[in-house]
Amino acid sequence: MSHISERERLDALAAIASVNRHQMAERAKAPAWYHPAFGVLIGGLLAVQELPLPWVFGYEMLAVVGIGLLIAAYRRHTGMWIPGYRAGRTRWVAVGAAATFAAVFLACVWVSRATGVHGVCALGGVFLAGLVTVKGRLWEKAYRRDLGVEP
Amino acid sequence: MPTALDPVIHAPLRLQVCAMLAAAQTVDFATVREMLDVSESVLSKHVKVLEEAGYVAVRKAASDGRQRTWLALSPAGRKAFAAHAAALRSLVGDIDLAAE
Repeated sequence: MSHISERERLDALAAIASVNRHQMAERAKAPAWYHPAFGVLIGGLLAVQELPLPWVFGYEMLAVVGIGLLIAAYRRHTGMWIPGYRAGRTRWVAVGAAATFAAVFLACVWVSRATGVHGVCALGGVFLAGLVTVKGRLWEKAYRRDLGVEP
Repeated sequence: MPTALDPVIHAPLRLQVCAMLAAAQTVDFATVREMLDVSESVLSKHVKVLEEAGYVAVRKAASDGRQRTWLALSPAGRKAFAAHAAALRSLVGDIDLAAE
């Protein structure tokens, strides 16, 4: 490829390096309500576990619709979609978050059923909602680090 | 021997489009245009080149009562972009990609 000059190569490399990484990172920022709303939906899945089964199923359907609406809102707001499990630091955050959520969920349901104490799932749901919110923000931080715009 | 530069990707604007799409799964055409600060016709022309090479998938979808065009790197495009970036890196030595 000798027809491509060294200068062009450097320019091209600079284009990669500066390819609006900051803009991409800024654009990818979810609206302030996004992670808390996601947290409430996920936390709700745990909180309803002590309710009668029809309520649980009803809420699960509501949560699926809610998550779909949230994703649509994110895409509309940012003009892009980034999968949570994309390669890089983000993947580790996503996998760690999923494992933590599953552990909290199962632990609360088990304690609630084994001890018969009411309110464990509701409390766990509130905790999970907070955890999802924090993990969502950590994911964004990891994404920014993957883009090289944050140390 | 490093992989050869890909002339389809090498044009600066197409390189930027590929880099943006590599950082996300799908990006709205209007968002790409806004971030690159180019006209719709110029971007369309470059996207078409990438699409014809099989590097970019273009999907139109209605959203909020209007048509939006979503761009995504195809698996072949992702692979080609990675190879092109690697070739550039090997050509220019130890320049730090993250440096401004």
